[in-house]
Amino acid sequence: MEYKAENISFSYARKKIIDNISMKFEPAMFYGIVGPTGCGKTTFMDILLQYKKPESGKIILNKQNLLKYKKKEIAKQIALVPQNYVINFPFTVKEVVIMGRYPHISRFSTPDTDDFKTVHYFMEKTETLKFKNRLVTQLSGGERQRVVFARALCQNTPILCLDEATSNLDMRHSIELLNIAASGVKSKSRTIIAIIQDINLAAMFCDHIIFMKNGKIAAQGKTADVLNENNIKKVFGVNTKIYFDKYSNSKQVVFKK
Amino acid sequence: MSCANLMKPERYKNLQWVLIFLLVFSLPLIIGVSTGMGYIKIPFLEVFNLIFNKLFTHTDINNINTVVVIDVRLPRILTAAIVGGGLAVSGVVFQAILLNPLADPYTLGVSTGAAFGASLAILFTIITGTVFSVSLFAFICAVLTLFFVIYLSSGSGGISSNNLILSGIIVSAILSAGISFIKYIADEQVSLIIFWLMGSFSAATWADVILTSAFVFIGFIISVFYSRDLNLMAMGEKSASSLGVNTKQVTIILLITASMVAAICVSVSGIIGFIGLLVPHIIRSVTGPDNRKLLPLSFLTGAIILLSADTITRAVLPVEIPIGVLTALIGGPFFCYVFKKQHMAKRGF
Repeated sequence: MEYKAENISFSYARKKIIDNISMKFEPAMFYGIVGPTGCGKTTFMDILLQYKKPESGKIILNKQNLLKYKKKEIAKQIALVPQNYVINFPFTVKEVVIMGRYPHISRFSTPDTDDFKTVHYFMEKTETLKFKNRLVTQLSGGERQRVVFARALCQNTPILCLDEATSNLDMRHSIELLNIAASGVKSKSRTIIAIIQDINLAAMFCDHIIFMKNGKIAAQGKTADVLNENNIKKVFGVNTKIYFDKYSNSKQVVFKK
Repeated sequence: MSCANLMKPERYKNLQWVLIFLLVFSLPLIIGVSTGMGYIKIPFLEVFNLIFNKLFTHTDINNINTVVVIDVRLPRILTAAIVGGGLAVSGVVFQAILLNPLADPYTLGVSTGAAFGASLAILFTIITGTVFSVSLFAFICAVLTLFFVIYLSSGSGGISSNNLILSGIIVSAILSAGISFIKYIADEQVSLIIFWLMGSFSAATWADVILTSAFVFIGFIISVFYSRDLNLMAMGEKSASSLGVNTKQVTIILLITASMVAAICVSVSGIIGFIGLLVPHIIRSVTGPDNRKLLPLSFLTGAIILLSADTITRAVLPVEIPIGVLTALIGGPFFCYVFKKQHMAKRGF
């Protein structure tokens, strides 16, 4: 699966949000996008998903411009867990998760047994099965986030985008959900592109980190190579100390008051 | 596999089937019963006999009952039913697209546009003495209003539901002032305008029946075609897009469809409130928010409710009350009740 961004630029109200970004995403890799707020991370992801059209440049998926794809075809290739999730209508949890299968089911068909198996599997994994009949409008932020996570996993796509997907979750669920997502990386050659605020979570899960600042890629490369004091200072303007932590088996970043 | 318990829908499953069954069978029944009701009482069976004869044998039994049923009552009854269904369907679509359970067919100012057009036509008729078609003017102004509201609310990032609602309110306010001005000019004949605005089916003809059913039927088919996309739109635009919905296209197609349906309904009947707001709420509380069930059930319920309301004002009450007033007087308090009850039960909308 070839997936890359070529010379992407995007402006909003004459302000350049994305400034000539090129990036290639490989299969079986977990990519983390980190950067200060307002650096264009979410906009970049919106463009990767064809939710926003780039001003210039293009996204290539399987040797073809993403613009040439139908929305439904994209939904079979790329899934998204968005941030700030609000649902105004009282669908049940189960109904919402089944929607993840819609790209695979034609408009007037009903889900078959395989669809339900997939739904059941991911609801169990995300621990949403126990409240399958509750209304999404009544869930807590974290519960809702897990439901949406389950829905995106049900899309069973080769590429999964996470836009601060764990921001509403407690420690345990953050780690568990990222583990579920990450398990598909090696076993199914899945590509994960995750915007992550928590630099230490990013350090634990990502194979590759992309530092963004002012709409540009400030640094990118293997986590082991690019996650260092200099880059953090350059991108976030924060002094840190970075060391290899045996317990988490990853680099970890510590801060000072 | 333990996924079996996922496959069965749990929400009021039996109640849903009862509802569908009741609605499908009661609509023709109510049409038949209300056709017999009125100043001249006609037995139920004779009504069906008359309609059957007219449809299949073409023998013209030229008695007074045939004229009453075929030429007077049926057009009015069918128009009321179709308008009721159309307003309800339009309400479902507006609530889903605007992600706002309080939206109704008139949110985008379509009704005020229609009212303005109708007032204009009535004014021209008063001034010039030649007859201007009220329905035609109402329809054209409703459509113009719709497109202006869409134009006003669209920006670089597509159209947002907040912008649409806001634009609808602004344009409605301007048009309302326009209507007031027309009423002022109309002076002593202002009652003509006021009566039209309050809504009535008393002048409905077979042409109205055909025109409205064509629009409502096409609108209904388009809405049902996109009903699954509408469900996804409830997840928010970005999620819907990532689940394979062309959100901009679906939004614009359905906005125009639902507004056209509302426009044709208003132009033949005047302004009838609460059907488009109330019916989707009642049905949603039984079936849940799935638009694939909501659309057909709301159509049937809307048809039954408006037809019944029209029959009550036509044949039951001693004096005919304008239908728009009646639906607001009954629908308003009922909506308060439903709203408060759902609110208290925390079931959401």
